[in-house]
Amino acid sequence: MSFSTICRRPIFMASERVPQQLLKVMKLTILFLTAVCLQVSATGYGQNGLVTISGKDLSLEKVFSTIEKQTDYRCFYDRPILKDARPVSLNFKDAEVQEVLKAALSGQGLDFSITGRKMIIIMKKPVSAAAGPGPSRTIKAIGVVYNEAGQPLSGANVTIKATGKGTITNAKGEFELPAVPEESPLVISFIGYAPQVIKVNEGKSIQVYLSVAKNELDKVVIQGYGITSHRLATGDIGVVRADEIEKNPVVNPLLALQGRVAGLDVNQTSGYASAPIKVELRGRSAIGDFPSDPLYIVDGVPLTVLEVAGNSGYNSGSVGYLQSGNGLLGPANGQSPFFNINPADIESIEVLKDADATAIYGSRGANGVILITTKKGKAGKTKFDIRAESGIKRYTRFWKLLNTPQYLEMRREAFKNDGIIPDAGNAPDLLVWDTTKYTDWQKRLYGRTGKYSDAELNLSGGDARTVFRIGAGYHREVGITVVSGADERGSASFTLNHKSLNQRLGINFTNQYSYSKSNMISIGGALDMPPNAPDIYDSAGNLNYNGWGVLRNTFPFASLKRSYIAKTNFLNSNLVLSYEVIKGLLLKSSFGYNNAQADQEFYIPIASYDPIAPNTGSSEFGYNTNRNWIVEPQVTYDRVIGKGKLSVLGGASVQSTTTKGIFIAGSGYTTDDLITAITNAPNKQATENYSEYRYAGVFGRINYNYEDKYIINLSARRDGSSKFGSGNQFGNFGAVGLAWIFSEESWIKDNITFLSFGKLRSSIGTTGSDLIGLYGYLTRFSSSSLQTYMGIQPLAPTQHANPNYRWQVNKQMEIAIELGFLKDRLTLTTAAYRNRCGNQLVNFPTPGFTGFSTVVANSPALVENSGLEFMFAAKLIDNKDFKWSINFNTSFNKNKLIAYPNLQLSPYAGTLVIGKSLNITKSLHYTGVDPQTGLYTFEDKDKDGQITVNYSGKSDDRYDYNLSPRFFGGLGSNISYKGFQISLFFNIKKQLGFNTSQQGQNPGDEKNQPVGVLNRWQQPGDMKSVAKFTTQGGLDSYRFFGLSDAGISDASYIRLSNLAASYTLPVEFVQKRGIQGASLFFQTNNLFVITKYKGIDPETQNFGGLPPPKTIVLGLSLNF
Amino acid sequence: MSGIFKFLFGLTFLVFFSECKKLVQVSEPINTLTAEKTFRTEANATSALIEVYNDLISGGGYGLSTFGLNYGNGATTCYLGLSADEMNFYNGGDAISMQFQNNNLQSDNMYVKNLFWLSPYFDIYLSNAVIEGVGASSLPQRVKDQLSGEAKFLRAFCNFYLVNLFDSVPLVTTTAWAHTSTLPRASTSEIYDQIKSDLQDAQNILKEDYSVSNGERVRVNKWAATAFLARVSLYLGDWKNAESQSTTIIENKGLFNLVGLDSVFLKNSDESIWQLQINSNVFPYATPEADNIIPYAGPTFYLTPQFMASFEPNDQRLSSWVDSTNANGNNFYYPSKYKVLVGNQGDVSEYYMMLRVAEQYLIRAESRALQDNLGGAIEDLNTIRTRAGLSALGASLSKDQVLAAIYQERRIELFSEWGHRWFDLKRTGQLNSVLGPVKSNWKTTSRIFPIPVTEIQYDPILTQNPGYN
Repeated sequence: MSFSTICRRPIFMASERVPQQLLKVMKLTILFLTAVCLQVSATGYGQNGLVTISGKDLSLEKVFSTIEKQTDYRCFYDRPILKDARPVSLNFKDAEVQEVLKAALSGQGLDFSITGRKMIIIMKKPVSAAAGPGPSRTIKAIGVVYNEAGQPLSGANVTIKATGKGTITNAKGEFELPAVPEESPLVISFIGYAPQVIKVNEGKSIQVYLSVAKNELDKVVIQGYGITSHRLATGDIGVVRADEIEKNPVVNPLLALQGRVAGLDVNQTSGYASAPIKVELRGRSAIGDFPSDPLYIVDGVPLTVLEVAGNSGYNSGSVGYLQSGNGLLGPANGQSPFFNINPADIESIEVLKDADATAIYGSRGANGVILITTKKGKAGKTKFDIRAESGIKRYTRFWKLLNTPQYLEMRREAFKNDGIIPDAGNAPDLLVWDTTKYTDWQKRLYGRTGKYSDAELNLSGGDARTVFRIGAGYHREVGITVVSGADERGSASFTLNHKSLNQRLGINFTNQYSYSKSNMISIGGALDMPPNAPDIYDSAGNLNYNGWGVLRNTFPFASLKRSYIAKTNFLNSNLVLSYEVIKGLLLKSSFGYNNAQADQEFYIPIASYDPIAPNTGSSEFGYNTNRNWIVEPQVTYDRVIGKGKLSVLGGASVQSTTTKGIFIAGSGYTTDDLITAITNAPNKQATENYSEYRYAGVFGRINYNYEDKYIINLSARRDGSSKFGSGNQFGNFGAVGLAWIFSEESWIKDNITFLSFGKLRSSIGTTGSDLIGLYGYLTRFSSSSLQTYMGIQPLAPTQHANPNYRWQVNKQMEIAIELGFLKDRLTLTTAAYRNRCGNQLVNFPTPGFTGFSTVVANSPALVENSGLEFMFAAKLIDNKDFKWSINFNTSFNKNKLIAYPNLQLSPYAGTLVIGKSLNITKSLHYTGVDPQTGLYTFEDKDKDGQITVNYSGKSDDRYDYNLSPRFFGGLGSNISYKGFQISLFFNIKKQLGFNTSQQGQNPGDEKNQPVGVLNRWQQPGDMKSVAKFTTQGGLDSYRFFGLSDAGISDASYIRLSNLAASYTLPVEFVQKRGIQGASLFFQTNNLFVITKYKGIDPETQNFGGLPPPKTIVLGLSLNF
Repeated sequence: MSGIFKFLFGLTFLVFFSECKKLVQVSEPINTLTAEKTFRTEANATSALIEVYNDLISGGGYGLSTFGLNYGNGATTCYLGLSADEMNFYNGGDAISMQFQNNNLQSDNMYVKNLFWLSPYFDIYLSNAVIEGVGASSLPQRVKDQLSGEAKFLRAFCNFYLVNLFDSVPLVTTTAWAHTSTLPRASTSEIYDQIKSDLQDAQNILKEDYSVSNGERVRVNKWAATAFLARVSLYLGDWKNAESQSTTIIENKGLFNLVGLDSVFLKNSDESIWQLQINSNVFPYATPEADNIIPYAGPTFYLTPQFMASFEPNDQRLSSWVDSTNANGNNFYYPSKYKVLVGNQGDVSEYYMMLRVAEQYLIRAESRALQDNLGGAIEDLNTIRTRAGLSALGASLSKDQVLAAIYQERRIELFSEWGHRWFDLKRTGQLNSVLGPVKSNWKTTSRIFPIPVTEIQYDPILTQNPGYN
């Protein structure tokens, strides 16, 4: 025997504004549902949605409770309406709920409707012949709008279908429309929920329970300071949701975005788990060497990573929190700040692309904005989820290099060609080392099997007013390098959402905390060592300096005994308080804080040095803190005006970020035991980086939505930033967005029936960027890392000062058409954009003879990125048991330097060309090996009789090659059959890139080479692709080869970035064991890459570095 | 509704405009000083000057590894030794170093750029910052003179090496990047005029003793300026002035004397006019130069056979200043003017020699010979020869014979010191005839280093030296 609440309904608070009559009606409608004793002869658990019931003279309450017990439907009704109900006799086995209800309610004057998991029982409307339908007859409609969990929805639209007019609900979800034409239903809608059409009952309050939208078009999309949906958005926002992120076994959530969002290029910079990731939206907009990262906002708090140490770059990405300088960046060359964010905590990642979406972020929106929203709790039964996975990591691809006999042949031939007699000094590989030894150095250095494990625990639940979620995660990876440390991350998250009793006051509190530890070892750039080079270790297990003989001072493996450890604490916290003053007017303030602390340790023990050299140990320590707070008061006001809804937002933002990086180097340790503590170091040296950043802005947005057909969106922002010198601190930004949902036009609706959705949208506006180092306007003298001379601590200038630079301005335009066919089973979005970036803030190159190589300045370059993006999704099969969907996106961006006054006299004269991409590289055109001389030949483009390489941009023999990707995108497919699910995702990119012949050495040098070099010239008359081997790579022919397009080749690839399969165990099977749900899954990342690239990895294009490995995991998830 | 709008905008604008200026105000960074503060006190201004010395010896400064080789602490010795016929590089694996030895420098050679171009120019920047900073300050005249005098000397010192390595180069006399970033190449005479004027200023305002550095010879004074002016005059063919400046030094017996061969490079030796201090508290090697030359596993920079063959019999300098190591059964000889590989902390016996008296004798000998004072020239030459245990030259030599003897003496006395061999061959027009036969890739254009390619990129009005692209 148990009790069950049949209907949950919030207590209705009367207010003075509600008329007396209405109160009466409300009293009637207040429901408190009694528990009903369940004594039904139910014969067992029904299937989901199927009911087995039989009995005589069953009360309706009993029928409802039986249905509730056997299914997850919940029944809602006004208790008084059952007072005249008769008991019924029923006999059903595995029947649909509708069938049962129909039988039970027939002839009772009652009707029902089913919405989501709600059965709503209502009185049948009496058919009155007397009161005929007439336009003059109106009734008053009142009601309350809830979500499925019974939480009132404030600000929901209630529209009279016939007139298009309506209102919105107040904090308690209530609405009141005094004059609704009697026959006209109401349309109730709210962003993120499926709209509902309901009939109005005179004198009765209507309860509307909206269920969360299942279709992509109506799902909630987070936008700047608010929410919208794909249907209603005037701007361009790409979304990646939790289900896609969870399928990919990646430690860094940014990697889950690879190929998922059209226009967003996400590139790994190396194979280390914590390595920086280069992110670029819609092409390169600035000529400077500064990371292209968008603005990242995690739960309303900007993830502001200030660049104070000058170690970040356009191609290498941001070094993250590692700001201690002095190159203490570890083997991964920095740390992605997202390494500290657990992908399992993320609900969605929104990528704001165009002016309309980003202008509200004003000065920081120029590179796009990425909003990361973490998971919230859901009202209802407290749920406990466990997920655990474990797997391996392996190399993905090797590059075929010469074996020992081939290598030795190459070397001997090279010496012979040069007429040089090899001796122990210039050819230890031939004369000193064991010529029978063979090591595949790729395999030796990163051929190990790494480990991957991840565990997540979640607890969530709550009631109509308070929901919570507590999450905990642990992740550990061991890399594939010959000596591997581990990358670990422990994380905890907590969110709490609360509404006051009167629903007016809201509190949302979100927190993420993580601790990560990366223990990495640099493999050294030694993949191309001679294959007969002596081993890393000697027989005693020590570094094999002795084996390297005369080359001992170039022994490359000292790094294997030099471990680098980075430990990062990260806290991101946000509190949002909101108060609905009157209907539609919400005061809100967001208080955000994040704090990242990264400690680094790098040890160079005596044991890593050549034992015959006199050496002492040293160690380096970095201590970095990045503290950031932000307060953003906001006001929103929504109201219905005429047939449209007006939403107004106004707000202000104040932010402060302090970054400090301290680097301490200790040296002179006489034993390795002392090395871990700086206090033991006989000599110490310190560097300090420090910066303070303050930022303030006001912003506003006015959105008017007319009948969900015509939408205009205006946004503006005025920003001030301390990154500028006085007088240049403030800038204004704004945008206009328009959308026309033409599929709502009746002439289209009636004529083109297969078109279920059609929207044309366009936006234009300006955004800015202050993405530049701090204090560039000041002269600065520092003692950082300077040693005393004669006991005096020196002071040195650190930069050129420029007091004059100002905001960068990006002008952006976009036009897009979004189409849905066959009830949105097929959707296609095409967007065209043009962004122009001028007045660029860059580290402007200055010749080194001026004292420093850069100065912060506005460059006169005007850069355009224009392009097309396509997104296509289709549900090819959409049956109850069998579903198959595919999605595809691709983007074509054209990057172009539009203007640069006096380019020929600028530092970019030799590198940039007007009308061409910023990512061009200049190369000689390689024209093959001369059959007579065996040397490489090149095209004499300027016909001056010799090959000239002129770096000042004057006439030379080089051509421009564009290294920007031609297009990139992703192709995904999901197939599910009952409990089985399999999904694939390919990451596709077409581009040119540098291959190994650009990065490697000259064939003949004491470095290994790809097997292709065997096709070399040997004697006059030979037609070969490789010149004669030589040890004298400095000669023009060989040197030019490295400057030629022979080093540039196709680096396109198709990577199976994700393959995931899962099996959800049958519910009956697991429920018998006390588990709500269980699934087994298999996931992979980077399983293979299809490429013609001449090298190891076409994405990182780094021959010596660690390429991205593949990950294969098996896992289990349980829900309680 | 208008009320609500008023409220809305009123609130936001109120918040913003009342406080906005303050909201984006930050204080000066705590870890650095502005130029104005740096030159407000004597102590800070001295620190700014001291950085030039520190940068010379420690090689830091321009994003280069601290205590790595740099033109001021040994790179000039090592790499010009390779470019000339003085030294070879043992392990051919370092292609960048081999470009010096093979005289086929490329315009993207990192050592040329970092060690011989950026480093001296950074020191010029530091010196200019001091000259400008103290000039604009309200420091006492005594301090202004001292600091700007030293800075001018150091600027001249850097310009001297730049103009001799690269020929005409941009002449940078200010820190104002907006002005300097588009400079063209100045003519060599403009550069030399600046060098002379800086040295004369230094000569006029600097002290005649070493009191400013507590008696240690590690900061420049009037005599350093004089000695350097002697060298500059010699290079310019101003024999008269070269003779008179060097005579000033040679006759200042109260401070300067030749000392025994084994004592020359010891710290504060009587022979030194200017040395750089070695801070052994932080760097466990005596000098970065010695660390690069003295082998521990195998030879690195070793003396060429033709140089070794040029010693006269019984030359004591061979035993005092040359050492050898054995590799694969062969002896390799290397310079050992500096002998200490690992310094004892807190007690360094050697400082890095910048200017010394023996060179002044050789300058005077040469300028005398060229003014046909052969007797005087032979006398000076014999002073140096006698110390080396060699016999005195007779008085009957012709002018050409005397000059030949002077060049030979310079080759031996000043070997592996500050690139003297390279510069002597260059200024006397002997590069082609001497190096042509022994260097397989020798070209006439090899006499001038290439302007680093990035500099031409960043300042397109710079032109490249002939023979490079």
